[in-house]
Amino acid sequence: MPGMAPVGMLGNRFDPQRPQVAAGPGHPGAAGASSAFSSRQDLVDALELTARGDQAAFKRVYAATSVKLFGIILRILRRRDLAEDVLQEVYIRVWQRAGDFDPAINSPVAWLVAIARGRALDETRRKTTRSLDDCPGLPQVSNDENPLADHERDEDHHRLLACLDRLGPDKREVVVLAYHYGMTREEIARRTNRPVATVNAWLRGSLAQIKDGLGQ
Amino acid sequence: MNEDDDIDGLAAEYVLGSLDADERKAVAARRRTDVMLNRAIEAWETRLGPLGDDMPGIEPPPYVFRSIADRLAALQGQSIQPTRALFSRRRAVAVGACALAACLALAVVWLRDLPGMPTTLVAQLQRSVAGTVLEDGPNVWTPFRFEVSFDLRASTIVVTPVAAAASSTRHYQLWLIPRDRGGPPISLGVIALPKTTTSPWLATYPPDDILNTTLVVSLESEGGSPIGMPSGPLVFVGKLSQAAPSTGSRF
Repeated sequence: MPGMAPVGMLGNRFDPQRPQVAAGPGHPGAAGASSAFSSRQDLVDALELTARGDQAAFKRVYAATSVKLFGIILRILRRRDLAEDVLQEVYIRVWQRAGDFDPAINSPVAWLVAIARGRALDETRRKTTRSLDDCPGLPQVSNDENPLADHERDEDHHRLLACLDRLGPDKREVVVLAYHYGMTREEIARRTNRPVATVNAWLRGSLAQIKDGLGQ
Repeated sequence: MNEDDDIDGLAAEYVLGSLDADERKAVAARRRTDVMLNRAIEAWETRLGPLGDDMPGIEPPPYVFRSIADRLAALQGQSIQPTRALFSRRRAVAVGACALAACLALAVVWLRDLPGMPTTLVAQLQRSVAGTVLEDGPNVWTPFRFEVSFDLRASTIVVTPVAAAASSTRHYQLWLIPRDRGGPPISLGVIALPKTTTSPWLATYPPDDILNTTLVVSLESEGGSPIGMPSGPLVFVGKLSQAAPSTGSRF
């Protein structure tokens, strides 16, 4: 595939005895998104190849997106051990379900993010209680702070940000706490010192406003 | 608020992440049969997807990808169906090459065979490669296996942990991977360590349909997977085998 960096030779199947991750400077994610993909289309192509069982393409998908997805998962779960387990589950699902991705419907990153957030939210809801203080020492943020941002920050992104801005800071905070940290209405209410009913009304109203604003 | 609004609101909050555990579980179950709700969820995933672009990433440790590769290698020896025919062709080639015995150390026990349909199917579930990788912490793991017996006449499944770690805080769930169906794994129940668990086998599959199917054990939170399929790593695997004539031999 033009424009893709070589990532080493893999056989027809995953072989745990082969040093698949030794080809890069640390692991597939260490290469960073910018060196693995130059465009959204490259990621679309890699997912399509992954659906055909191309392990090298799968490894490129991991290299380009694992930093982003791990950040998303860890922010929601707030436990590194759980986040690592969920990250594994996410990419196994990506390998198994890459054929479900339809570039006509979704962006590749949005599709991957949806899988990662869904799994992380499922996992965090299995814990009965938690607080934002129950994660001592979140890991350091990667230097590659915003993988894929340049080519994924498209018109839809800007329109969504504009919708969030129109909500005002208080309602926007409520939406962001739910999205980025997977907080329930009750958790948001405690966090923001507001009644649950207020948070509930704000969430539903804000989401309806976002939908109207995006015209979708 | 009409029903469409409610569906859209539920979908929006499901994607946003603000539903509590019970609500989320209910929506996840409902979307499997409610086409409108499922479409609404997918639409909200598209709408809110760009929100994730604003947050910094965090680099996962290198061993995560190694674990993924190990688990995929183990899974490729199983009958979990891919989503496209191309997967099947790849997998068909891979099955021969993937040293299933090396990965899974399967040992099948033949107990007995009666004329006509088999009445007892048994399997030993050995620790998979993924289990080795994931359970490498001190004082977490004592090597053990599960022995599973399907008594088709009594419609019971008996799961016996062998040499289980009494101090284990893990929770295990047994699943059957339907053969040649492409369907999702079927939960056979949560395993109560360290005791023998006897569960009803209520499925109506003919014995031939479940013969040689793969059983897996996943690591789950207390109470089992909330999503109707394994949500944790598959740490034990084995195959159901028909009871043999009364030789009692093993191989």
